[in-house]
Amino acid sequence: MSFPGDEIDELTSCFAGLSTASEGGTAFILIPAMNLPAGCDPKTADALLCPTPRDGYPSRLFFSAKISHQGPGQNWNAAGVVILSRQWWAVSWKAQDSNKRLSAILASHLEAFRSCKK
Amino acid sequence: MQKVKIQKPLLDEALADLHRPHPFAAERVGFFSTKCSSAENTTLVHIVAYHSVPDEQYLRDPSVGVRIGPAAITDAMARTAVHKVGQVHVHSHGGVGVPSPSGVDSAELPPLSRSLHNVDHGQASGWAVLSGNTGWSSIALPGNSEVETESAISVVGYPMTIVPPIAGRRRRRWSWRRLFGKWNTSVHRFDRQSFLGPDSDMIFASLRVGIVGLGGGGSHMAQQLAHLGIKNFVLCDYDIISETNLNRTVSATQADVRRKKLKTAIVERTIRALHDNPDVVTIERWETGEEQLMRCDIVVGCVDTFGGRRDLEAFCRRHLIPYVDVGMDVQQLGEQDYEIIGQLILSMPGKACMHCMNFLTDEVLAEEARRYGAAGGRPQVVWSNGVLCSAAVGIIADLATGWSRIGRDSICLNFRGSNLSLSDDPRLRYLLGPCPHYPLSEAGDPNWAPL
Repeated sequence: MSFPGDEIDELTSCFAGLSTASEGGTAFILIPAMNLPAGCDPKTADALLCPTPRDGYPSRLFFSAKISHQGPGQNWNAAGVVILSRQWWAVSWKAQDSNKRLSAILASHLEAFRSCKK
Repeated sequence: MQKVKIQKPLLDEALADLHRPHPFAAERVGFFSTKCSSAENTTLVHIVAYHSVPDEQYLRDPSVGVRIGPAAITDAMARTAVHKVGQVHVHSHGGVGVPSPSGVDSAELPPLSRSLHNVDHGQASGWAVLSGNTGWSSIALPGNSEVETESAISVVGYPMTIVPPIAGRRRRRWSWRRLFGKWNTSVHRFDRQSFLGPDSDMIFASLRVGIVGLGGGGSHMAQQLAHLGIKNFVLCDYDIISETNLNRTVSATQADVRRKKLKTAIVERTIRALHDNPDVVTIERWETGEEQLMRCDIVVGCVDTFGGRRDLEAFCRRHLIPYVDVGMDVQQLGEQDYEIIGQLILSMPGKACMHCMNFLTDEVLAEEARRYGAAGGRPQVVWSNGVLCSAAVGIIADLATGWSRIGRDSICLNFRGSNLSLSDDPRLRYLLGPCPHYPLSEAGDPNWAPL
């Protein structure tokens, strides 16, 4: 599967070292050492974006470790699942990705990890 | 540990090309492309494509009769450089069983092999000799530019060709009797199943089977496979036996419940009671014991969730391992109206997968996610697990020995408990051609393409 060039350009302007691979007919985007929202522990983690439907979600964002945070996404319903020969963790989060651009999908997933407290 | 694997259709394609007559060459050669699955102490070399050498790339050479010219070698090197795959020079000696390289092979091919490997030390390159049903290879693994490792070639398909490690048997004709000649204590044990083939007991003794989930399904599988003669197992389950498991988990006892035994320990006990010195590895979760599972020749999944099946099949496809899925459920149709439904699937690398079979769909995966994968407390009974698992053991026995000669390498059977029937899923009839979800090019370590 190929992604629209302009959407990839948007992502690469924000994140370095992006790569893609597919498994079982689904394409994934790997974002190495992604900076996580304030309050997350660890502060960075590898992220795996699945921009197409998976597990009943319109898209999913997996992390290389379980993240401790104060955001609303606290239900880690994917724990240690193997995708592309590596274990991943994800919270139950239905991203509000109305325009479905890759950057918008990613940003919407990160809302799960942003603390509501000011 | 190193293992070299090829899908049977690819072996057949290579042999068909290598056995074509050439205008002046006595034998043809070709090249395999390879990819690897790597773990800490294990490397699987997957043969993922065959490349014929065109007639015009052969040159007459008085010293050896005929050789391939620089164009063929340049093409092979270009495949490594461009596509990031290893290259293995290959020709056929015919016959059956693991062949031995000739003196000319051993003199002429290692320098070519080193040149191929020098293009990219991150790939597995070398040379190989095929027979009609398997092969011998000498391959330098990724990162190792000097040493080539000799391996027999395991064939994934119907029938499988399972070959034990070749170390210590350099240049000797391979035979099961030579390998297992001293292993005669079981001769009488397997007399009644000798129709499976003269070497079947040794094939089973060499086979390594992974079983994920050791409840009502997995406990049946392990017990019957051990009776069949299989003695190498990787057992995966984190669960402890409980009272409500005793209605269907064979070999489990009340004492096991009182002692809070792990299901893996109960199954291991059964296997050890049937074999001297079996090789049994137990792990709690396959996701954290991937290296053990990737060494298996066949993996059986007796898991509760569709998501678990999807992930396990993806793992098996990546490592070119046939996957057997067994499952059942009791559905309530009315107030006092029940039906037991189940499935038995053989998912062979390259052939229809569980997505192709429409067994795994976005809808069932989404519905399961809505229920958070909760499968606990579902009704289960011993006989339906037994029927499905007995049939699964039959499929594995046929796959390993080819005794039935029917040649089924892709199976989807539906079970109905009310009439105790197992029937072919008609959808499989219309699934022709290779699986689009798991192309052979995606075997081995993931192909991460920079964006």
